[in-house]
Amino acid sequence: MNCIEAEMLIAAMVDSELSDLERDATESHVKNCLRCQYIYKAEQELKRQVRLTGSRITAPADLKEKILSDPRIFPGMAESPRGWKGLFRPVRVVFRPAFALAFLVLLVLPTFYLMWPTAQSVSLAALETHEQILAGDIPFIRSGTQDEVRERLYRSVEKRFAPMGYDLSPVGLRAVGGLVHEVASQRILVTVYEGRGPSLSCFTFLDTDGGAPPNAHLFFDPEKKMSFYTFSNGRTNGVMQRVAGRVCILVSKMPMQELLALARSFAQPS
Amino acid sequence: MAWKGKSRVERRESFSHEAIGHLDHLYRVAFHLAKEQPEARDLVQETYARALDSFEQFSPGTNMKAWLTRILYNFFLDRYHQNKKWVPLEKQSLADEEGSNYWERVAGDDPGPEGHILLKELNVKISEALKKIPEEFRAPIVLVDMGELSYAEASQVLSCPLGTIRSRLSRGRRYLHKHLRGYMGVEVQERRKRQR
Repeated sequence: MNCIEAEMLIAAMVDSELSDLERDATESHVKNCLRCQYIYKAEQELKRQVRLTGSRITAPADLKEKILSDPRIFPGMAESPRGWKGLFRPVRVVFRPAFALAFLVLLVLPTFYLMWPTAQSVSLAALETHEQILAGDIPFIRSGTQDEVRERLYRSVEKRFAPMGYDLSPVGLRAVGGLVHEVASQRILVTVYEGRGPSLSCFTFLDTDGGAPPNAHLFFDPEKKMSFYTFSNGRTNGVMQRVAGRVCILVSKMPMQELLALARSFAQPS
Repeated sequence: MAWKGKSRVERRESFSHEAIGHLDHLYRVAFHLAKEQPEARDLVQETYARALDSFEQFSPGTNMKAWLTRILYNFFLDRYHQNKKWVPLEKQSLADEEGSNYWERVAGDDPGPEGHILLKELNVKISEALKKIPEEFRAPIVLVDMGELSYAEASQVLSCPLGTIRSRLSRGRRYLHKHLRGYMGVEVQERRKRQR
């Protein structure tokens, strides 16, 4: 085998796509040829870098929402068995007031919804709040144990909802305190974790809408069938997820991939 | 995905949930084929609509990722290649680098000590470089290197023989390397070894 023949097979060797015979012949040539060794290493490195570049490209967060709400793709979410006209002409007269009321609610709710604080603003505020906690600009109550932190936070919102009680001790972080933060009339429970590596804040609030920051990236975990939204501000990263009527945002300066892996490993589908 | 004993609605639902798990992969491929974000979004959304429209043609147990990618690529061809001609200039510029002596010329270049600093920009450069190489060479790289499809799967998606995938990948990587000259880590390392 000469260099020209080997060169054509090196790409397939990098991809482990050669037959045994071809692989033996190519390997034998590459072993004794400095030029082809260089080409082999260059192609290997190029493939690695291209794969890395690809892994950093994820679908925009709102694209999944758009696909899920496309009636051609998920008709179950848009279709009514009797068609939309049936909504306005219910068969039984006794149901008409209920339909009228429902119709009114449908008209009023969007207005109310638009005036309500969105998860978008909370998500972005969470990044800022974490920075302020780190800088000591926002004081928080330090408590002895994770259970104590949880109990204090739970009581502070009249037991309407509990903070996400992640035990992050396997990764060297422990809950050291917490605070209740208010963003646009929305009460947010913040658990502060410290320990090995960068500190982490866990924000929990009631899920009142479906928004994520406009620049968030969506990551769908097919195993857990859960969606995670990732977003950043400078070096501060956030990962948002929904669990059982609550929204949880983990915020830290740890690399996004690590933070996402952490969120995925501890998240449990509702 | 076990479909046995399931109603059509259940099968469709099961299919759509599995299909949505390939969203990032499809978007990645669409982005590098169409080169622009809005087009990539349209491509992906239409791919899902087409796939769900004909989901019963999919054989459970086979590779859904490759099946969806094929739909995406066919739609890309339908939409973007109608009335479009190849741009000869793009090919012309690459033709200069054809031939087996390409790597020898590369080996003679010296990227200089700034090479390592430039590595940081490599990911951006790779995306830009991919946009510059002709689609026939770009597509196999996107499918095999980014999408992690096998040559056999890529040949099905692109409807071409396996040998064509092999040669296009080889040439495509050479083109890509040309655009990344001075940025690749292995070059920098090799240069340093020689200088010692």
